[in-house]
Amino acid sequence: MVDNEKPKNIGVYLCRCGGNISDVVDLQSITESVKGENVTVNIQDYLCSSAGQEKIKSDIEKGKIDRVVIGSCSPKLHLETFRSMVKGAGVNPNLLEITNIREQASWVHDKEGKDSVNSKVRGLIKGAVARMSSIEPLVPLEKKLVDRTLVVGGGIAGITTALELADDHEVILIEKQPYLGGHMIGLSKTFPTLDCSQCILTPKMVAVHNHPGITMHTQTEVADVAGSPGDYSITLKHSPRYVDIKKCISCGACTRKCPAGAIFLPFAQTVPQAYMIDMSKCDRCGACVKICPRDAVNLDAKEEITTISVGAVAIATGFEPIDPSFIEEYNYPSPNLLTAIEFEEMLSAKSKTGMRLQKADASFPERVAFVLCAGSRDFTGKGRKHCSKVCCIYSQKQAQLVKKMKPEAEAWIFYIDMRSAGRRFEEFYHHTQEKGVNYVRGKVAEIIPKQDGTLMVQYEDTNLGRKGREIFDIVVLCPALIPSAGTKELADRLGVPLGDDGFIEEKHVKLDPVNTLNQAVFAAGCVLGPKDIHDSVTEGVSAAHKVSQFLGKGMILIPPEKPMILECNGCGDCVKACPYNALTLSGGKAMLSPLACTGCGICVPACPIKGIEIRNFTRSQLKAQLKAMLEDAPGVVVFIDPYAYAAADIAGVNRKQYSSLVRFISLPSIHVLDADVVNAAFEYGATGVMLIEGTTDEKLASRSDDLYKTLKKDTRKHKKPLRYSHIETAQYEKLTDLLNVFASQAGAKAEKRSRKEKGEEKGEETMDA
Amino acid sequence: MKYSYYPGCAQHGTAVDYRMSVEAVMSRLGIELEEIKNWNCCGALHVDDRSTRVALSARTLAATKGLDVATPCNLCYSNLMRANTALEDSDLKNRVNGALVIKYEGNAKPKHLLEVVVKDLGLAKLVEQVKKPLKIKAVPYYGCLLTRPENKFDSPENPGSLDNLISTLGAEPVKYYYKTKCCGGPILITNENLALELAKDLLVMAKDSGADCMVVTCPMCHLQLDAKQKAVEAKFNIKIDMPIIYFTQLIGLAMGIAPAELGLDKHLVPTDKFISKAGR
Ligand SMILES: Cc1cc2nc3c(=O)[nH]c(=O)nc-3n(C[C@H](O)[C@H](O)[C@H](O)COP(=O)(O)OP(=O)(O)OC[C@H]3O[C@@H](n4cnc5c(N)ncnc54)[C@H](O)[C@@H]3O)c2cc1C
Ligand code: SF4
Ligand code: SF4
Ligand code: SF4
Ligand code: SF4
Repeated sequence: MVDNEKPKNIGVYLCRCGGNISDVVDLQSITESVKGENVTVNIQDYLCSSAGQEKIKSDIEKGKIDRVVIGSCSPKLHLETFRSMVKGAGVNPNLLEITNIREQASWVHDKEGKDSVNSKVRGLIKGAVARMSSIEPLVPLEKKLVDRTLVVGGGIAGITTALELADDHEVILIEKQPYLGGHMIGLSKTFPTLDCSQCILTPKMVAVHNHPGITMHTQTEVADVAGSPGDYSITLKHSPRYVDIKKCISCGACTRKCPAGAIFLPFAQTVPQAYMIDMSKCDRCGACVKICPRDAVNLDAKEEITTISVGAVAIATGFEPIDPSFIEEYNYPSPNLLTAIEFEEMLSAKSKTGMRLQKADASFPERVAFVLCAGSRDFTGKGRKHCSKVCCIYSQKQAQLVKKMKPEAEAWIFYIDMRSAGRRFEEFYHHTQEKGVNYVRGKVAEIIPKQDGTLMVQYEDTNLGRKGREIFDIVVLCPALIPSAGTKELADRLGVPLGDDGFIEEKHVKLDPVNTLNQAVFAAGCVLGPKDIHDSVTEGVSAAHKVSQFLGKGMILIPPEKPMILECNGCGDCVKACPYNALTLSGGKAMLSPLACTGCGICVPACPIKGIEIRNFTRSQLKAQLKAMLEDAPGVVVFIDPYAYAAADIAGVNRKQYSSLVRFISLPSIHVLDADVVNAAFEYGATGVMLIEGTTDEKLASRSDDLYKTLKKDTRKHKKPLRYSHIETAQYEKLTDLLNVFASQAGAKAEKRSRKEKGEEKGEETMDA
Repeated sequence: MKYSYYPGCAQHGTAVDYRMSVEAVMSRLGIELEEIKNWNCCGALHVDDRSTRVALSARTLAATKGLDVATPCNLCYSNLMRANTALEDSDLKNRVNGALVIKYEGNAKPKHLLEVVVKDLGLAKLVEQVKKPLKIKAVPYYGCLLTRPENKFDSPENPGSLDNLISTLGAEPVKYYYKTKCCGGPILITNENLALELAKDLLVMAKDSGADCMVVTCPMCHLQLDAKQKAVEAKFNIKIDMPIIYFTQLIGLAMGIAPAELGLDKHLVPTDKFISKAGR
């Protein structure tokens, strides 16, 4: 390789990050110890600024450097920016890598001594420089995208995403309920302007139904995901409706004939407009089949499975309310004790009371209480920690509705803090006060149902400093909003991490709010956290834009770090081992289909003659990095996959401290490792080695135990600790706890060993004497 | 099954009926209770000084001879449990032990008799002894100290063990929202008005639920709800007439033991209607 022969001039650029890094790490001293014959080091205030980028660019253009190592924040933030900048300057983007010295050093070790942090950063940068001199320029592979998007969830976020996309790209929209609209179709009026929910939503639902670019399936969920980003093959499961949506004209003849009340239209504005059968009620008399003028009823309809091919997926599965029955002292469920969603539904398109607010005995309530934060903002471990964001405002909307329906009726709001941030909301708060709604600041202690159907609310009024009890006709609980059931399974199938609150983790909280860590998967609406309609729509529009941008390229770039088959005797072990059928034997030799290959590395240790290496993660490249990293000071080496790496980033953002002995080596997957590399780590001075993996891909995770056992056996001679752990992105606290425990165990073991060695030396001396 | 037994002061005073039913039932269930020699008062809720209160219980716990210690009283139970937790503080433990003749190691395990029956014996065993399923509705009332702040056998706010016991005896536990509300007993002397008001809330809710009796696990609750029931009726001008039954009496009835042997004739609120309804 020509490139390997000419000397490589590596430019190392360290970022102060406006003190975020330089207040903790002595970048000057790092510079001194890293610079060398072919290595120049430069420190900038903000590398990501145009001045910072300009410096790198001009160094390249002047011919001073041809490879770049950056020491800065997590690569998640600016790797793409830096890489496209060097590409513009004529350097292969692959030849720029980022070493994370902010989330993985200055933010998590600032309570430790300066020396140990400096020593860690020095090791990381030296390792990165060694790696940079050993890797080869690679060109990403290109794969054709399937120009079709699956939108999961037909609430307002999914509807918006689908409509915004459908003029230019084909869309398949699936919804697990028998109708579109999500929670919004069950709302009464909508804050802050109090327009009627169905009036603004129905036209959108009809537009989805009529759009030639959208195929809509109700009662449908994702059953399986195969393929890879840009080219997914997704299996859908359709539950039977027993009425053909295309044939049914909603004449209602069947309902009139049905003796069991089993065939019905969910509600008048249902989209799709078609009747359905509740099979738990139906006694299969066949009356509906006979009367239906369109032959639309099929009592024998079965669950169906279909497979679709899509390039991108938008997740818009929204939220569900937490079940408040876990708050034992509120005694939910009880008559006249409602959730806010049940309250809304009474006054919505889905109403079963003729849009009347009423008690269990059908009379109008004279006194209504709203109990806020039911299960939200709860740090006891029973409820959820997060604020559900919309309840402060919607409860005031509901209180206004009570006053509007009957001005003499009383509405009380029990709140902890009244949160009305943002445009038009403080005004809304003020307006509700003017309507004569009672506000009590304090958490409700208990709700006791009475024999006569009223409810007694015991509370503390923290403004007046006294306790009180009041009797109400209806009490409305405002439950914590949590991700809808099935969100985790769906996210796992698509390789998308969740936060510790269960909502989908954005690619970047602020800068990439509708992207996920999977480049082909996007998200919008309440599946990213509780929010109102305005924000759900904004995210739907954004997600559509991002999907469109992604599909518009026509191609997807696939990371070029794939296996190379250097030597092969045709034994076929790797073919058997590969979980993605990416290897075949052809003419007695193993052959790779690069587009099917995920670069997982399972084939590397599988090959008995060590004939396979993953490009840029070869055994010798990893060893070179390890050697340089451990040269000055020993440490604990942690091999980490991208999902667990994301957990370390979250730990950094949350400033969760852990031992500075920890040195991460980031790998596409821990399965590229074999004993060669782990043994080398021990030989170069690692006091312990950990493998941490966060992938939810069962094809990989199911093999990790075997990998760990093999490595344990084959590295036993070093008598140093080796550990494997599965940490999903959300589990950053578990990660830091684990790192601390392991680092101290490894440290203790190393100390014992060195005492023993010293003892032995002494022993030898005495023998000599 | 053998336990060290800490009866508490009431068993030898106001709660003779409780003692009679405990003796009648436990021996028949094969639960042997060996009364601690020379035990002292637990201090109830009236000893303010923490070290003194802890020391009172420590002295009892030190005398349990390696057996689990059972008590029929919610206050005693609560004090023994709290003392055990407090004595995890080794400073306090040393101080307390300084004052004790027999030192306490910290390893005794206090149990309420309800726990002994429901958990140690088990409801599956108990049901074998039920001769006469009770066709009545009963309020399961746990009182404020049995489950709170926490014990190891039931939920603090919404316990269920007494409910389950009641169903095991063939009776129906009614839905009762005041399972763990204070009965007012401990403040009867200092604030009678409030104490009676608290008792009234409990009794009215019990009455409204349509129950035939209220089942209690504590002599203090019994005193307040039974002996003071007349006072509540007079003060609030209401009619309650709600028999207050110890859980051991309820077990005894279902086992077919004669009401007099269970002390059921010693109550202030008459129990005869209730007994005949229960099928005796
Ligand atoms: C009581 C209450 C009152 C409110 N009032 C207002 C208001 O007045 N004004 C306002 O702006 N906002 C209000 N909101 C907030 C508003 O409801 C949300 O912003 C909005 O509904 C979010 O839309 P979404 O599409 O993200 O989620 P959702 O409405 O929850 O829609 C998600 C959809 O995805 C479907 N789904 C879920 N999982 C799957 C799956 N696995 N496969 C297929 N489909 C799936 C669901 O069935 C649902 O149809 C209120 C919220 C509540 C709880
Ligand atoms: S088969 Fe009969 S019972 Fe069933 S939905 Fe049709 S009419 Fe109703
Ligand atoms: S929005 Fe208001 S009611 Fe809802 S969780 Fe937050 S503070 Fe509580
Ligand atoms: S395992 Fe190695 S030798 Fe065997 S077929 Fe695969 S590459 Fe060839
Ligand atoms: S890297 Fe993984 S997916 Fe690719 S060929 Fe090897 S085993 Fe198969």
